[in-house]
Amino acid sequence: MVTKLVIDAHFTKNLIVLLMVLLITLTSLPTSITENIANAQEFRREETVFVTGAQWTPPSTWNPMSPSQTWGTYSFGGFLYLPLFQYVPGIDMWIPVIGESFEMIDPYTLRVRIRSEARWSDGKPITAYDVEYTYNLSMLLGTGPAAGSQMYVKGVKAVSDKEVEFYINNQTRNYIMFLFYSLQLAPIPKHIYEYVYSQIGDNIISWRNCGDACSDVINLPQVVSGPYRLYYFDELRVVYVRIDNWWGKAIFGLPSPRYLIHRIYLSNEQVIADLMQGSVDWSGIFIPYVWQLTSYGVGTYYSRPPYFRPNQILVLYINNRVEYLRDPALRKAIAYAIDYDEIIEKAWYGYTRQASMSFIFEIYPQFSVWIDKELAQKYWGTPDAKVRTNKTYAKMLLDQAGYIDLNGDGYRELPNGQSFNITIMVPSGWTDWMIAADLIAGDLREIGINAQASPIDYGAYWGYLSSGTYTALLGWTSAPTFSHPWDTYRYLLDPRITPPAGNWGWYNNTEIIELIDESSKAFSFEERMKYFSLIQEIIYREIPAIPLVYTVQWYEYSTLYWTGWPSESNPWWTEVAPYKEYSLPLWVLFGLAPRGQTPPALTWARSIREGGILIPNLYLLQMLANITGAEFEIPTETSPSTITENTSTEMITEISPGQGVQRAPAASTLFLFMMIAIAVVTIGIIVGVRILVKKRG
Amino acid sequence: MVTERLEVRSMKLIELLYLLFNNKRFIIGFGIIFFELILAFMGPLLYPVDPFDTNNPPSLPPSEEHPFGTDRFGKDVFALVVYGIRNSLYVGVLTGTFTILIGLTVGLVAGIRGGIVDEVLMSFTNVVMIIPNVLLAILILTYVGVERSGLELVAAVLSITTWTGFARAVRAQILSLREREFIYLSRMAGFSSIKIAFQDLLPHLATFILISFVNYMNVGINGEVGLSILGLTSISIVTLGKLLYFAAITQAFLFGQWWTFLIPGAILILLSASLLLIATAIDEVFNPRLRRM
Amino acid sequence: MRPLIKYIIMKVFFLIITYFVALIIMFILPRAVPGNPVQQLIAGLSTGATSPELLSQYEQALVRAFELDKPWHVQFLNFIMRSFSGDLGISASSYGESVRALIARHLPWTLVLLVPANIVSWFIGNYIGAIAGYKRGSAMEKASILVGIIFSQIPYYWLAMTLIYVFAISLRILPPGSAYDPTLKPSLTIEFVASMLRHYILPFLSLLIPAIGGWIISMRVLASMELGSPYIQFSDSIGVRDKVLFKYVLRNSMLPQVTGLGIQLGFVLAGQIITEQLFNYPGMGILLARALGTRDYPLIQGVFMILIATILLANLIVDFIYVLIDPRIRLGYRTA
Repeated sequence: MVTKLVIDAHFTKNLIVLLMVLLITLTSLPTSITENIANAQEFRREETVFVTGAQWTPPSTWNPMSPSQTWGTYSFGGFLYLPLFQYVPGIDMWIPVIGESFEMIDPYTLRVRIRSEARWSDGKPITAYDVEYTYNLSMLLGTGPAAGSQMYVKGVKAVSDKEVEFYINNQTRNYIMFLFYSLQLAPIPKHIYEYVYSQIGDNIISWRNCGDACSDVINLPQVVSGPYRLYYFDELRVVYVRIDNWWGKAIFGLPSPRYLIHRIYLSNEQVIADLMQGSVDWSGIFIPYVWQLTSYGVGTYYSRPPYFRPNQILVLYINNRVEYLRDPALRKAIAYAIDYDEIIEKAWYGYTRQASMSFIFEIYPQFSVWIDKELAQKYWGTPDAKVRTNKTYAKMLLDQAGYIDLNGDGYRELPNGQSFNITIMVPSGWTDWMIAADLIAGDLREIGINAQASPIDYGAYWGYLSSGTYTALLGWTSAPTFSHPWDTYRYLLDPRITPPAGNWGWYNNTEIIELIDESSKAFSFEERMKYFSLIQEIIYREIPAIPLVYTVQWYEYSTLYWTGWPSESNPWWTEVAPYKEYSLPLWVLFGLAPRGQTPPALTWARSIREGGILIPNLYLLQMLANITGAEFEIPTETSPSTITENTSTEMITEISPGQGVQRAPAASTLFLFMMIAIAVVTIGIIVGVRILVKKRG
Repeated sequence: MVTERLEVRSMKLIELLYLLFNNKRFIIGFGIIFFELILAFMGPLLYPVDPFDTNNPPSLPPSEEHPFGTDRFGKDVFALVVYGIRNSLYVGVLTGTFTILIGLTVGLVAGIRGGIVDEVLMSFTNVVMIIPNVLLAILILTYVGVERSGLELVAAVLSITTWTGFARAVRAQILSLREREFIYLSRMAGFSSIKIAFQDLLPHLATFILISFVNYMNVGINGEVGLSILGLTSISIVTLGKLLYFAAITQAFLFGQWWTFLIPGAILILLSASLLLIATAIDEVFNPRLRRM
Repeated sequence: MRPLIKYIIMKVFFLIITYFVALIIMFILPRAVPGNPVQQLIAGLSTGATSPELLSQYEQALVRAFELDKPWHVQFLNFIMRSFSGDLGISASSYGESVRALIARHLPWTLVLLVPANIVSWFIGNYIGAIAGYKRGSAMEKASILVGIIFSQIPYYWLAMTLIYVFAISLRILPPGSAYDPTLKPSLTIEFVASMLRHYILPFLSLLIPAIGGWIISMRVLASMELGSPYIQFSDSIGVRDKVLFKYVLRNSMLPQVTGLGIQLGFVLAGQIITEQLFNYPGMGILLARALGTRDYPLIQGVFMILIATILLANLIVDFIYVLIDPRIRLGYRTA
């Protein structure tokens, strides 16, 4: 029958065309073609590092003066434009990048010496005049590396070709912000920007500076200070190419990959699949069961839990604008109700650790000294101010404060009798956060607070955050800098900052303003400690937000094509996530080698005391202390170094299949029985209806 | 098409059932639906496992203890599926109802009144129709807020974005019917438009409405899955779509946890295939042209 | 012909109104949703150790650049005025890039994926469906109904996941996503085209298979209905050859399918969000999803301006075909 079918000629033709198309696609499968591809590669695989996890939208600009830039270009320093100096929190040291040295020549003036070798990629030297111009143009446009610095930096002046002076703004005399802006300034090439500004004026902020990779209002060759420049981009990739005669070659060496390609994805699933197949080398995304990927040649910083390094602190923000949510008793009860260990294990697979109520990054020894241990002991019963989950105590706190279930719905009402609920917002699709929020809501319900997790659209999340119209949400604080914990306290508590630039919890306490301002001028250890203790006491008393765990510095590398990745056993670099701020992740590339070759030994990446070029942060703190005539000395014997000890071995217990809660063993029999029963009933009904209908009909 | 259809009201219920239960497609479709219905409603009684219980070991393959295994969060997939079917069917029924109501109202009014009313209504229909419904649904759901998106809201959003095709079809049928003699007669007899609509036009559309209902139920079930996959529905309500969503965001298909997405997917396909079978069967039973052979 | 001219004028008039109403809706809806493009750009920077002052300065600069400080109607009028001179503005999420360039770079990928998928599935589905409808009761019909029903009900995203699982993860013979090998630069070389085709197979199949099922089902019904119509029965009784009869059936039952294809092609510009997302395929779907997610107002507006126009045009054409096919509808207009 089928073979005898009459076939319309028109259709047959189309079918044949279709079959041919399919055939061609299928013949392209064999490896012979793949080999051809390898020969014709534009970017040879063994010269290319594929990176992902930092850029999720198609590229924007490569212009440090623009308010939005592509990964690798940030106005505060990236792979293309380098800062004068930059702070490395993991080892508590400064890298002198374009700058060579700095000193305070008087209490108001910072003098920076620029490296004599430093050159732009077009061969012109990087001078003090470039730095001065960068500051001035930022002031003029309101964007750029020095934007917003006028409160702290009064002016910048080139005193010679290679010497530039920064003057502090005496009204605020905030040394921390002054140094923050001055030392980490990433200069732009004056000769280029002067020309562009003369042509397009204020529109310079949307100039793309893409060299010959795109067509723009003004197309100039990209002039950069870093070892990479833009080569090509499309909607799936940004390709940077190494500058082989980069000025820093003699000091830092050259980054190993000739091409650095950031692949742009929409979702994590794709990244994981590509990582498994070896078409991504360096990624910064959340991966469940990361240890399962070892067989694909994928590694992480630690080979045991927690696998990853910390990045920031994850915070449960409870809106301080909502009157009834300001009650410290309620907040304290919430802090005690949360089961931190469960969150770490279930939402993060043990990738992280609990954070301290003091908001101090106590994982790093140089910062842990700032925790007032007595105070912590007094308020939380632990010297590091980590809350020990205690639901009974939480319930007692609520009972005492008058939160009692009056209407019998199973949830407590406010002391004034009103019912209330807490909705914990998280961006939807962020699996780890979603699970964490879900678990926290469960914990709160257990102590009688009506709470739900609510994953919402990413855009809406920022909308609610910025307008302060939420009850609770999960968010972060800034990553620690040289002034930590000052920077975190300011980001978290300063009411002069509006979200999303900081103060996500809409905290409003004028007392804090004074403490923040005063502590920025204090440099002896005792004096700083005094202020930080006062701030910690306010935090413990009012609980403006609840720190949960450290966010994870996502870093997964594939060893299929490249070796030398920083790790526990090769700890030469600590800031490894590709999305880390400043040029910090750039240096990872300097220690790589194609598979099979020996990675270069980077002797410069050590403290000056050990023959390297890195400047310990202690030097800066002492320099500041000298201004006020004090001595800076940390009383405890902490030598800042990378953390090697791993305190969290007991944190995750890997659950192997078969273990776990034993339930009635009859589950599968029950299941089978049930399916058969339902099937029988269904057939019975059909047969029944048929018989019934037939009889009557 | 319409002209050839038998009219429902001229048939007795028994006759109708007789015809339906002699149709193989209907029996298969009905069998599957009925099976899943019983599973959904009796399942929680027969298989007393809490689908929200996360205390099982995560990502277990199907075993004696967990017939469909467990997901990443340690939830029992079978228990989830049982709950999921029920909620998915609920969304389907709601979407079907809402869509038919909106579409019928617009289509009838436009078709009967004609003229400017018709043009305005059809333009409005066009406006909704030309905005891709996925995008419209995304915007509405973000506007309302995912946390508040119960199943009713999901169904409403799906109906708001899908009723247009049905409205146009109803209108087209009415326009076609209007030219027929019995309507002229009714009109000459001085009956009002509403009376004409209910007495003369609706019965002619009855089977079409019934079939459309089943089809839109299908659209509802699958639409909910689509919205879930995009992460636009509340995570606290389990549906078949939510199961696929969780499978997607936990990268189950990359880690080889096939049971978390193949099983819900297969059940979803069965469910919608059976709905389609029922719709086809009804069409065949009431459409003599199709039945003839 | 008079009523027809009146009908056309009326149609066009309402068409223009429809267009503007739809534009206004798509202009206001994204703005009514919480969040705006600037907040996200700023928040993206705040993950690093950036000074709050710098962030608020940036925020101000961006708010000015996107006119967010102006009332809605001013923004809308500016947008309309500019777009008439061909300027769709600058994207927010890819700041500096013009909306037109973004669309121009994403559109080809969507067209390459969706147009062949739509057309090929249309041909295969209708062909099988027509044979099935024509050969009633044959084994072929039963098989194709089964295939049709199952295929048409496979959710395409589920199919996509399954295809990735089987071909890219388990068997490892096809890439899991992306549009071409990341080591290549788009060019017209054999290598690039081969790599593109390799990456093309899975997304293409995930769209093709469910679509085929749908066409089989609808075509089978249409063909068997056509077969039951008096003229075929008459032709059959006077002994017209089978081949000729099949041609009649095919041609006459094809018209609704043609309009169906027309409407589908009109929507092609919107891309296929979920498929593109699962395969990381750089089409319009990803562009739109990103635009909506990042509240990229200029991009959303620009895409919809083009998208709605295309869909309207497709609908208009389909409408005219309808009128031409069914005289009863034309009649309805005369008396209206």
